[in-house]
This record gives sequence, C-alpha cells and structure tokens, in this order.
Amino acid sequence: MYVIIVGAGNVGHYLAHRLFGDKHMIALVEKDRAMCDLIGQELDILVVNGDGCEISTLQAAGIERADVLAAVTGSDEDNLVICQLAKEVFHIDRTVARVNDSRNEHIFNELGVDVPIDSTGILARVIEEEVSLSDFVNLVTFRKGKLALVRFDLPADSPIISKKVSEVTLPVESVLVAIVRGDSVFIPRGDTVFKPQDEVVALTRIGEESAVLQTFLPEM
Amino acid sequence: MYIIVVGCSRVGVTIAQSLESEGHSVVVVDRSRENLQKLGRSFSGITVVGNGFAPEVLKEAGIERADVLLAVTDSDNANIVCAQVAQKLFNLKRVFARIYDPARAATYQKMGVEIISETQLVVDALKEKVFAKG
Repeated sequence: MYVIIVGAGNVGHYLAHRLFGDKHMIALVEKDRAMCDLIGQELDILVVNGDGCEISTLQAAGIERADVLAAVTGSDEDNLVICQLAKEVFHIDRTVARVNDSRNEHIFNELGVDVPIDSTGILARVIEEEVSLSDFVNLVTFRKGKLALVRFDLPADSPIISKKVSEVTLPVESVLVAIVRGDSVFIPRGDTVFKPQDEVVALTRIGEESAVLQTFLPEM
Repeated sequence: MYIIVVGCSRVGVTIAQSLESEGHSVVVVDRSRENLQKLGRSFSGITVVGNGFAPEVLKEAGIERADVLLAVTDSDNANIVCAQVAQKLFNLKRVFARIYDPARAATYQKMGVEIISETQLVVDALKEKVFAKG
C-alpha cells in the first residue's frame, strides 16, 4: 500500500520505520527541514519538506496515488484539516488521525475522519489499568470503540472451574478468544475445560465487559 | 445581534470593538488571556478564555443563542475547525471563517463553509487600484 504520513515527530518517525519494515510504500511530510534530512538518511522513502495542510505539499507527496493518509502532527486542528483535504480534494478512502487532546475525539468523528486515534486516552487507559491492580484488563478497543478485547485471571473460586467451555453461557455479544495456561495458549473449543489460574481472553461489545466478567466470578 | 468572535487577533479586536460600539452583544473567545486584554478597558462585552473550537468553550460563549460566529484567529486550520463545529455540532447557520491560504479557502467554500479569503480580498483590492482609471 501507498501510505502518506504527515508529521515526523515521535509518532510519525516511529510509524514510518514500522510501515517501511512491513514493505509499504511511504511518503513522509514534515515542516522541519533538519528532521527531513535525518529521516532521509535513515530510510529509503520519499520525504517532503513542507506544510501538509497545503494542497501542493500533499501533491508533492504523491497523494493522487495514495491508499491511506495518516495525519500525526501535534496539532489537532492541523490533523483534522489534513484529513479533510485528503478526503475532499483527493478522495482518499482511509484517513487516520492522531488526536492529541482527548476532548477533541468527538469532533474528529463528526468532521469525517475515518479513524481518529486518541493517543493520550489510550495511554491513560493502559496506565490506569496497570495502577488499578485489577485482574481485568481492556487490552485493545477497536471499531471506533465499539469492540474490546479483554483479559482477566480466573479466580480460584470461580464457579466455572472444571466446567467445559460448552457448559458456560457468555453474554450474547461476546466470544471467548483464548485461554492462557502457563506458557501455553489454547484456542478454546467446546470440550476445553477451565482450570484455576487460567488467563481468559474474550472479545466483547463495549458495555458488556462487566457482564462477561460476572460469568466467571464467584457469586457475591 | 448576539455575535461570537473567535480569535483576538488584530481582525478580532477591531471587529469586536466595532460591533460592540454599534450596540451588538459581543463575546470574544481566545486561548490566551493576554490576547483578550488587547480589547482594552472600553470593551464591555464578555470574554472567554479557551480553545475556540472546543464545544464546551463555545457553549460557555453562548453559542446556543448566538446569531453569528466569526472565526478569525491567525490560524487557518483553527478557523476551519471552529466554523465546522459551530455549523455541524450547534447548527448555527451564520458562520464565517477567515482563511489566508487561497487553495484551502476554495476547498472549504465548496464544502459549505462561508469563507473570507483574506489573500484574495487583498489581491483583488490591489488589482483594482492598479487598473483604476484616473
């Protein structure tokens, strides 16, 4: 795929390295000339020194043949406008934007950015989970926050220990994804039996997480 | 009329003072308290410190009862986002955004944002002077 990245701060720089390793075609747009020179020496990609909010700069980066545009500058209004220009002027199907201020995520959705990524919010959630000492961790949220992959440790007194997967009824909008036991990972089948200290990974619709957890916890 | 001016730029200060002196209710929003002081003591309208495209800031500025919003910060993109938030999230009909970059001005005009293309205005005015008969 041909991907245009606008903004070569920490996020853009790292993203360029990763996507380059995955054999994508990449163009990077950055205002700062010194940064452009540095990345030009590191990676064999098209680096355009200019303002990604200007149509002529996007053209220089080859936007007419791009599949995806990722706007990851430190400014929310810039990221929004870059994505809107990509969509309106160049009909890019998939625009991804970094949201710097979590409060702005709603605006990105309303103004047509396909995938707003609230980096601060994601980081805060991860840290919150790490410090809350909870056994229940929301690993990742996707489809614009509609789905979540969650993990938790099966308590020793869980009512489902020694039961088969087929005997356990999960809430309608969730599925069991994996059971981690020591160093082994099981993809659960109907006859898989739960054991104490199992780590359970499930996919669930947002809002159903606590219902999933209730299934596995001892009755209060 | 109830008018919200977003951006205490030179244009923002001048139009806010002018509208207020004509008897309109004017609210000025700017990220910096220092910028708002440029309005001077004689300005008796309301000022709000905050990000001019944040919905809660616009609410504080009274957007739900405003007649007009003028997005006149020195940043094209902030003006573009502010104008769209006012239009799409608050259904305000009369919204105007100042944009320097003629290319962006043309694009957003097509997308239904009312644009004052500052560069184009100056260019047109200059050309008129150059070719004025006299």
